[in-house]
Amino acid sequence: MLAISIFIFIASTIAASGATGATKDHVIGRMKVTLMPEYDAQSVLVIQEGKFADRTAFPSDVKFTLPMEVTKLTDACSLSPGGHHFCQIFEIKKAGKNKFVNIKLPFPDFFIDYQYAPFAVKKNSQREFTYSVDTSYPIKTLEVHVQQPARSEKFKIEPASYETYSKDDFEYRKYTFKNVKAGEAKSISVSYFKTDTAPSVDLKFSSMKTPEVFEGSTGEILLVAGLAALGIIWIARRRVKKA
Amino acid sequence: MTLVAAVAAQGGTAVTKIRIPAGTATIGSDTKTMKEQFKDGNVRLEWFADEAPQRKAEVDAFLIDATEVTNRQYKKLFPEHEFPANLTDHPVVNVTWKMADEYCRKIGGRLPSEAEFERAARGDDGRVYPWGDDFDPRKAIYVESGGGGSQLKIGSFEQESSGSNLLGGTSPVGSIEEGKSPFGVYDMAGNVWEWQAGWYDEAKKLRLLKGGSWLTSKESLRSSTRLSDAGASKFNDYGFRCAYTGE
Amino acid sequence: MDRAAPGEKSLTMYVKFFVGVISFISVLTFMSARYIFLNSAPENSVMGISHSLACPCECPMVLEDCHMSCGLEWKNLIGVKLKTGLVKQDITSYFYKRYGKEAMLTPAQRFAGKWYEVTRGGYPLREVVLFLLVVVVWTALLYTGLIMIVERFQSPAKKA
Repeated sequence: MLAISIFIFIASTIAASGATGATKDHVIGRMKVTLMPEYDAQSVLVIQEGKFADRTAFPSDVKFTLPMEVTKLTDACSLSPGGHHFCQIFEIKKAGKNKFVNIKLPFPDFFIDYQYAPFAVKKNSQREFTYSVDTSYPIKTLEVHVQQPARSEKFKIEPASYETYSKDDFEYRKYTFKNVKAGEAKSISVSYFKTDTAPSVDLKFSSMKTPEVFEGSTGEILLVAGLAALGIIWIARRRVKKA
Repeated sequence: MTLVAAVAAQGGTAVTKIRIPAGTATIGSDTKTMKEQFKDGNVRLEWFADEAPQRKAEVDAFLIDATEVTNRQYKKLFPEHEFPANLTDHPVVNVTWKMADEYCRKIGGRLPSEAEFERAARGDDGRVYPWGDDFDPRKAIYVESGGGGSQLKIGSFEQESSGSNLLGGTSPVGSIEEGKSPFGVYDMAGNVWEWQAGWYDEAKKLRLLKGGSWLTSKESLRSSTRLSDAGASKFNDYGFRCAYTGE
Repeated sequence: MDRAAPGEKSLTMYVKFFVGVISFISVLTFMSARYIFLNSAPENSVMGISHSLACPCECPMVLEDCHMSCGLEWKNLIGVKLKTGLVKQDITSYFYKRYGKEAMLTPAQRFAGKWYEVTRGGYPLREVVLFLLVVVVWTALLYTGLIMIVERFQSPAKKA
């Protein structure tokens, strides 16, 4: 009886993994990574969007590798053939020198975006970082777009083989890679100099930061004020009772 | 045979022009009428305040394209223009005001003025929609027509993103006979917004668009609705048609 | 000090419990409403206007919380229009005319959007903990204040 149960369990596990698609077999047909240093925050906004090649393998679990310095993963979504965005519940885990996120995609299209802080933002400072593209899966066509921050000088990126274009008052550098193997190293090094610490769109369009539950230090002020008031009341009541 | 079929039958690039006789154009809408029109929805009157007050203007006779300019027609003049094969007889989109103006001038025409547009759309009786005063969802291509629908309201097919089908929800021009204006002009409500001659606000460099599109709610299909945007804007719901001076 | 009678004790307990619950609900409702509805950005700014619009990506989110490319496109569009000198009403009007009622947020959609933002995963733990701490502390404060008022009303009665 026990042996039969174990056998059924193993068989169903294998069948289930076959039904959802083994992640190791996935190939990305097309992926576009956009790096936007200091776009709307003092960090690098990364948008990673694309499409897995085999539509029939979905729904399926997939895994994306994130830089260790990730501060916030904002969105992890899939796109239906009709263009609907399905934003997924995700969980970020650590593994060695990286973080990664597992999500279950109902469709082969994906969109994730996150902020990460590879350098400190200070006035009159050189900012540099090297971004390693996530090549967990083989990629047939990979594009990497790098936005030059507003008010930056001596903007330099490596490797040097890129195209340039303008969009919405920003300059971009674009790389195109074909047939990237899984695990292949693809790094982009970015450096520039800026005198101020404000994000690109802060001055252009006024603040575009997403508000958190409390703006600035409002939450801390409320907490401290509440504790202080409680403390005062408690002390006063004790004195009254003693009296 | 519908207009688009007839035009396609002889190659698809011929332009059918409709003669609009001289007369009085009803331009805009008054506040009282709009209050009545918007009473059922969550529509704020101030969003459409630029239509008031309603006024009349005398318009000389002119000719106007029976339909919006199509991809096929546009490509004839600008061979570098690219579009998906299944959108040949759809209105050309992703064109700036300048591109629209240049096309019309090249074929001996110009963009219509607001007065000419409303004259062509509202006829002699100043109706709300080209087909009459009552809204009919079957007579225009708009958000609930199913042609693309609300999920395609972003981007343009020039820029492919992770969604492979952000192509816009336009329909072939002239496909709704019942939606014609009193003078026989097609798609004056819905399908694509149409660039107009002149300025919405010259100080702010804003051009005028009329007619509503495949993206809009029914309120924007009224012939008096005015949309403003920078002339350099190009989106997959902005197109145009040409007008021609004289008879 | 006289000890309270058993009946009085349970009444006091019920009163305290009731006051505690009311305090908690009041503070939680106020803080939640503040998070959901308060727009701290200037009215004629990208975030100020994004506060009133829905994310165009068909996620149930407020545009201000949407970082997807479609949301960024709309935010850019708002910014471009602000630069030309348009104000919130002009821009909101533009979005309604061009995108219809789906671009606008009803209060119920705003609530659903904020709930989704907090519960879909990845929300900074620090923010959640801070929110809960503030709620707890101010519930205690409100509770203490209300109990003091109740005791003040009870005291003259006892003296009598």
